[in-house]
Amino acid sequence: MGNRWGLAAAQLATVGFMMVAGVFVPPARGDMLAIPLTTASGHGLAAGVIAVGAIPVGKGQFEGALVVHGDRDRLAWPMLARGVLLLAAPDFLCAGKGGRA
Amino acid sequence: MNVERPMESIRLAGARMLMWLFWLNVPALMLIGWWLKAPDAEVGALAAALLALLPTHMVRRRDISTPARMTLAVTSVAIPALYVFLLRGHGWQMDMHMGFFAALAAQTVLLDRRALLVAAGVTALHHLVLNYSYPAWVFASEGDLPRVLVHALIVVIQTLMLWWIVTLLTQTIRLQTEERQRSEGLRKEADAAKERAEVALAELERAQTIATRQRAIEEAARRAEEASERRRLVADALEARLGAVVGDLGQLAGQLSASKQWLFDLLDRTTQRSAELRKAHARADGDVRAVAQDTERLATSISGVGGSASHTRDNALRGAMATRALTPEVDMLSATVDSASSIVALISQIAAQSRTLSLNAGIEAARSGSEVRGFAVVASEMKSLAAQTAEATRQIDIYLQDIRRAADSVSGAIDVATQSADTIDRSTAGIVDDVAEQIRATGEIAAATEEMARHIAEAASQAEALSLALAEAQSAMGETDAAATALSSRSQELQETVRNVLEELRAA
Repeated sequence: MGNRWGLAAAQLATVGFMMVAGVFVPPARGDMLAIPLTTASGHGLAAGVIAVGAIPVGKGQFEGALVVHGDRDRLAWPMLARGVLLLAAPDFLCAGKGGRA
Repeated sequence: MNVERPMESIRLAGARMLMWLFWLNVPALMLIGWWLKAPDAEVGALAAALLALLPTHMVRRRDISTPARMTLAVTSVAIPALYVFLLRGHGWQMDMHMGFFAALAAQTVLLDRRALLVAAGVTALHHLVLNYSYPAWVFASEGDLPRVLVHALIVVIQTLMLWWIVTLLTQTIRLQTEERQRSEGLRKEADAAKERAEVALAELERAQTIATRQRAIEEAARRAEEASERRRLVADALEARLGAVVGDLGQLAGQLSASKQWLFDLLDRTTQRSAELRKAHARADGDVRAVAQDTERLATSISGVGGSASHTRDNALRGAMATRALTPEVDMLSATVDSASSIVALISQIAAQSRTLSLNAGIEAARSGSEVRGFAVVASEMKSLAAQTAEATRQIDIYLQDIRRAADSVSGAIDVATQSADTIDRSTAGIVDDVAEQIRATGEIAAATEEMARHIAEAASQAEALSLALAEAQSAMGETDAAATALSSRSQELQETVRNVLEELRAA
C-alpha cells in the first residue's frame, strides 16, 4: 500500500510539476522573462537580447531580469548559451511590463 | 462474496475506461494542436502520454486501490489543463475549461468520494494558481477572487451532486451486493438442499438400481436354475438317447465283431466248401463221364431186357392157355363133391334115426325087466353104431368140405393164373414199350449227361470265380474287421465323451 501511495504522490507531483511548467514555460512568441543565471551574464543583457532579435519591454521582479518580446526558438538557445534562462512572463514576475503575457 | 467486489469490478471497468481516455487524448492533443497550429502540440501530447503512464501501469495490474483511484482522479483533471495550456491565446481556451467538469463527472465511475474530492481540489488549485499566474487563461477579462469563488461554488455544487450520486450508487451497489449475497446464500442453501435432494435421489436411484439389480440377479439365478434344470433334463434325455445309441453302437460293434468272426468262419467254411466243390466238380465230371459209359451199357442191357420180356410174354401166353384147360376138370370135381355131400347127409340122417330107435329100445327094455335084458344090449349096440356112423359122416363131410375148398381154391388159382397171364402179357407188352422208351430216354440221358458235363465245367469256372470272390470277401472282411475295431473304439470314446459332456452339462 505504501508503494501505491508513493506512486499516487509521484503522479500528483508530476501534475504539479506540469502545472508549474505550464506557468513558466516561455511561449512560442510573445513576452518572456530573461533571467541571468550568473552575474556576468547579467551584463549587457539588453544588448544581447536585442542582438538575437528580441525586444526588451520591461524589467522583471528579479535583479537583472528583463522582460523581452520575441520568438522562443530564436531566443532560447542563444540566451541559454549566455547563461540567461528564458521563462514565461506571468504578471506576478513582471514588474515593469506594459501588458499581460 | 465480498461486498466490495462488485464495487471493485465497476471501479476497474471505470479505471480501464479512464485509461483509454487518457491515451485517446494523446493523439487528440496532437491533432488539435496541429489543426490550430499551436506551437506546443507535441509538448502537450508528450505530457498527456507521460501522465497516462502511471495510471496505465496501475490498471494493467488491476490495481484500483485508493492510491490508484487518487492517481486516476489527479490525471483526469490534469488532461483538461493540457488543453488549456495548448490553447494559450486561442479563442477556445476558455471553452477548454469545460473539460474540468467532464473530468470531475468522470470520477463517478470510480465510485470513490475521496477521488471526487481530490479531483475537485486539483481543479480548484489549478484555477487558483492560474488566477494568480495567468488570469487570462481562466477568465476572459481580468480575474478576481469573487469570480474564482463563483467558479469554485459551481465546482463544489457539481462535486456535491456527484458526491450524492456516488454515495447513492455505492449504497445501491452494496445493497445489491448484500441482496445478491443473501440471494447467493439462499441459492447456496437451495443448491445445498438441491444437492441433498439429488444425493437422496441418487441414493434412491442407487437403491432402486440395487433393487433392480437384485431382482435381475434373482431372476438370473432363477433362470439359471431353470436352465440348469433344463440342462439336467436335457442331459438325462441325452443320456437316455445317446446312452441307448452308444449302447446300441457298442452292442452293434460287439455283434459286428461276432458276425465278423462268424463270417470269417463262414468264409473259411465256404472256401473249404468251394475247394470241395471244385473237387466235387472234378469228381462229378468223372462221374458224368462214367454215367455216360454206364448209360451206353444200360442201353445195351435194356435191349436185352426187351428180348427177355418178349420171351416171357410168350411163356406167359402158353401158361394161360394151360391154366384155362384145367377149369372144366375142377368144375367136375366140385359137382362130385356136392353129390358125395348129399349122400353123406343121407347117411347122417339114417344114423340119427338109428340112434333114436336105439334110445327107444333101451327105454322099453328097461321097463320090461330082466326077460328082455338082451334086447337092451342090442339097443345099446345100435346106439353105439349110430354114434359111430354119425361120427364117420361128420368126418366125411369135413373131408368133402376140404375137397370143395381145394377145388374152389384151384378154380380161384386158375382164374388168378389166367388173369396173371393176361397181366403178364400186358406187362410184357408194356415192358417192351418201356424198353423202347428207355432206349430213347437213355439216348437223351447221354445227351443230357454231355450237357451236364458242360454245365459242370461252367460250374467249375464259376466255383473258381467264387474262390476269387471269397478271397476278395476275406480282404473286405479284414477291412471290415478294422472298421469294426475302430467303431468299437470310437464307440467307447463317444460314450466317454458323452459322459463327460453330460457331467459338464449337469455341473453348468
